[in-house]
Amino acid sequence: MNAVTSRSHAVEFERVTLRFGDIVAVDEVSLAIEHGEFFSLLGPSGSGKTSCLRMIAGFERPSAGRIFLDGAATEMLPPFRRDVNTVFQDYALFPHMTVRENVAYSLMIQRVAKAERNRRAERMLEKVRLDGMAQRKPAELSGGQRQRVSLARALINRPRVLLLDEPLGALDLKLREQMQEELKALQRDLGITFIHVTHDQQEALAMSDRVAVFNHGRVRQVSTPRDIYTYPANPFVANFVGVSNLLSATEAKALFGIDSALAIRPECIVLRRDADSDDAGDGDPDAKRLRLSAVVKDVVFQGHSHKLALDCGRGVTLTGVLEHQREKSLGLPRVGERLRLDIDRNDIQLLGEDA
Amino acid sequence: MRSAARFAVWSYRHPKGLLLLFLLPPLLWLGVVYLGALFALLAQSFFSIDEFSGAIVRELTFKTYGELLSAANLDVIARTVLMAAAVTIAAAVIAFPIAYFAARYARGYLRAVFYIGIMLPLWSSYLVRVYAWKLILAKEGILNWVLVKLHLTWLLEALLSLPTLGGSSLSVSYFGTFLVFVYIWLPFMILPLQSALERVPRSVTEASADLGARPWATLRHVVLPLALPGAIAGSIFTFSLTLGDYIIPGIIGSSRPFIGQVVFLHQGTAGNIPMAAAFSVVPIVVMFVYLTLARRAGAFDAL
Repeated sequence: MNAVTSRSHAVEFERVTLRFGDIVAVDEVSLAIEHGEFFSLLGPSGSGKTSCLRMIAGFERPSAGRIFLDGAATEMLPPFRRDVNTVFQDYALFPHMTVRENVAYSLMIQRVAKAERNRRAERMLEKVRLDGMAQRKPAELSGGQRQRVSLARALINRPRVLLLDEPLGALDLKLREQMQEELKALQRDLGITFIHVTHDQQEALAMSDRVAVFNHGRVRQVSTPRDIYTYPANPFVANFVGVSNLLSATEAKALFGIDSALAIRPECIVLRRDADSDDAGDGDPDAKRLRLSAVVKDVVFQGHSHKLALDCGRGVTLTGVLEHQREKSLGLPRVGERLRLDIDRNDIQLLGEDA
Repeated sequence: MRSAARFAVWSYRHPKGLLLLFLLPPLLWLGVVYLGALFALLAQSFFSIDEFSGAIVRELTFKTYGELLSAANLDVIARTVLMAAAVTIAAAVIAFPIAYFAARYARGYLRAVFYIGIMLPLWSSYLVRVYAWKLILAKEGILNWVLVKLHLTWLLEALLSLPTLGGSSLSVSYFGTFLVFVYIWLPFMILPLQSALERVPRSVTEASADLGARPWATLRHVVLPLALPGAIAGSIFTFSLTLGDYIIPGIIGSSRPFIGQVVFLHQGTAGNIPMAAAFSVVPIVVMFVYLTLARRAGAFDAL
């Protein structure tokens, strides 16, 4: 994806492969992560994203290929020599130490004087809004508080790169959304490169400057969240990021006369009743809008909207969505009712091969 | 069937009653047989013996404890406590790498081999193993033979020529006693250490390295403190078992006695039950002091 350039990146992968016995966890991944970027590695479990993070930290060594930190090769660097810190999925706090001792651990290792390291730990704890908790043990904290301690501990040294391994995975929804904003604000504030592993596409889209989508040890697409969502490069990305209707080339040909696999987001399908007097694009194959007729198979209430299963004939069922506002003008369709579907040509995502 | 159903309903309505029913037999055993016997023993130590008739005088007195603190007896106590401490430290040092390997790296087949390797000696008779060691350590034994072949006899001789610790051969020296104690009690140190180390998540040691700690610093600041409760649990075994044992020093070692042997002597041939009881109190007091100190030092903080 990215050739080696003379300019140094915060982190660069050059055809990196990681094998565990016969299992290929990471398969010839090349990536370049810029300084100060909030970069997410997104993918299902077992897709190799965490293995990539662990190789950056130095916990795993690539079976082949090279990793550069700030332009410098890392193969001879053990974890304790890398200017990179990690927030672990299970937080990995030292259970026998107080919160302050946990946060000041790296300073203690560097033999910083006790008064100085306590002062810096307190300041870091204030930053993650944990002041007053310094004397507690990790066991006395809630999940969200432990997460903050882990964050403070990793940031106290101002690493060049902060690695976050599913940091919000164990938190409940409300707290997760709050922490997403806090992490993003913290990253802007500190200007440190954040590399963030997650399987939650909403989280990746919400927080990142760029996202790399992983599957089966390979990078399937690297782009901004908006581009990943709007122009997925292949069926895997289209399906993994957000909800999408995937059509094979045969189905697309039969339905629209387009000779390529494609994806349509449910929210891009405009629902109309047959009786509606909007005739734009009628009978004109090159018009901006594609038009289909479909029978409603199922209507599911989802809180903010209804999800509809729409049988378009020829064995194709599309998922559509009816937002609350649109429902007011259209009325809720009944199962068995026939609807007209209008789809903007620009909203159709042509997909490459799913290698 | 109907009464069984009635009992089920009763136990549902009275969960505490059911618990009491289940706990009563073991509690009776613990309270009456186990602790009762211990207190009977303690009570004996406050009696004394009539020096002429040899009969036990059943009056409360500290006379026996006074005799316990004679120079000769204090010598026995010091010898035993020092031996127990040395055995415990050596067992912990030897057990740690084994337990660490087993907890961190041994999986599947290797793990089974580890457990069998640790437990196998425990399946054979303790006496047989002690006598086997006597043969190994004897002057004509296999250890001596190996050292002769390796031209290392000078090393053994240097060791045996040490005052007090040495002797004419390993099997009649404190060194021999120490070696056999360490061998016999080692599994009791390995197993609790291993279970403590197994509870240390890999991510915690990775976090230490991630934060700049070299392997030695990680060992010192993270692994050892977290393994300490396991080492203390193991040391309770090695320390107290050494304090009370009378067979090993009787078979292997110099003729100078340990607490266990003295207890055996007093309650057997000498018939001085109060003195035997007073001696038995010593290991209890020593263990109590030891655990209090360990607790003060924060050994249980990681629990």
